[in-house]
Amino acid sequence: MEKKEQEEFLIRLGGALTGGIEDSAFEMAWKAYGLYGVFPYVEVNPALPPADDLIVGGLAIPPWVLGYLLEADAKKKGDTKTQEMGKNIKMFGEGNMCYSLPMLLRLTLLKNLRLGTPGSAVPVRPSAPPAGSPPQAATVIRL
Amino acid sequence: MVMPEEVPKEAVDFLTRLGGATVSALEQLAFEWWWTTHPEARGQFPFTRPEMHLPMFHELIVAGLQIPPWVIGLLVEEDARKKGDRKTAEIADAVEKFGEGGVLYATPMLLHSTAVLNTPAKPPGATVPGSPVSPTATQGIVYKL
Repeated sequence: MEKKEQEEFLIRLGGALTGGIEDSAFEMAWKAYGLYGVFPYVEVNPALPPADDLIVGGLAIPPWVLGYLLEADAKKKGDTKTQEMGKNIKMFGEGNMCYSLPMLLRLTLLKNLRLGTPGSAVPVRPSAPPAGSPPQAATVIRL
Repeated sequence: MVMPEEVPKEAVDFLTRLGGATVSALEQLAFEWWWTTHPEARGQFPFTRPEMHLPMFHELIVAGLQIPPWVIGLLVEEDARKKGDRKTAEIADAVEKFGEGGVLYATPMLLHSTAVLNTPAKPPGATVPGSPVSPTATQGIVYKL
């Protein structure tokens, strides 16, 4: 593998890991703060993944488009330095897409095929408490 | 509408990587389908963990499956280039990119699973220190006897 290829792979991996970190941050906050059924942990449509996963998917688009436009503009102007930067930003967004798009596809299929996740580390229905959490305290009213 | 005469190589490379990443996600889904449809497999390999803080074996297997096409593609490409076989080098390059896509999905997926698994779950109704107490949060479920 050439040095340039190695650098490009690392930039893409950086983009993919950023997508993974964004996704983790949302779900860690959901789990640690008990944000069950609160935005963005809500379903926009019952057939779609929760809004927090859609946000992670949406966040992958700006660097990709920005990099593409920057590269194309710099190419016209003959600015090789900006062109290189635009290409790197585009590759970063590409890596992010390589995580986010299959993640959204998997979650959509999980929901629509009514499949469960072993271990429940990844919530399919974020409005519900994660498996293994203590039961909700009940108030008993005697009438 | 003007169509480009030839699809740019960058676009083909991106689609190959995305294909690898999607196959990786579908492999994970296949394991989840098996877990859901075969209750007897629950709690058994590969639906167990090597260590309580690590992702499950099926997730580690999905990540491991992405390495062979990447390494094989890389080695075959180098070998074909040395021999001057352009066609084999191109096929191997595509295989390498396919594997690369798989790695681009599987690595953050493992990171995500590990991070979420090791986050302590807050029980429903409990309050986080320093956060304002919502009146509805402490009420719980009302059972009428």
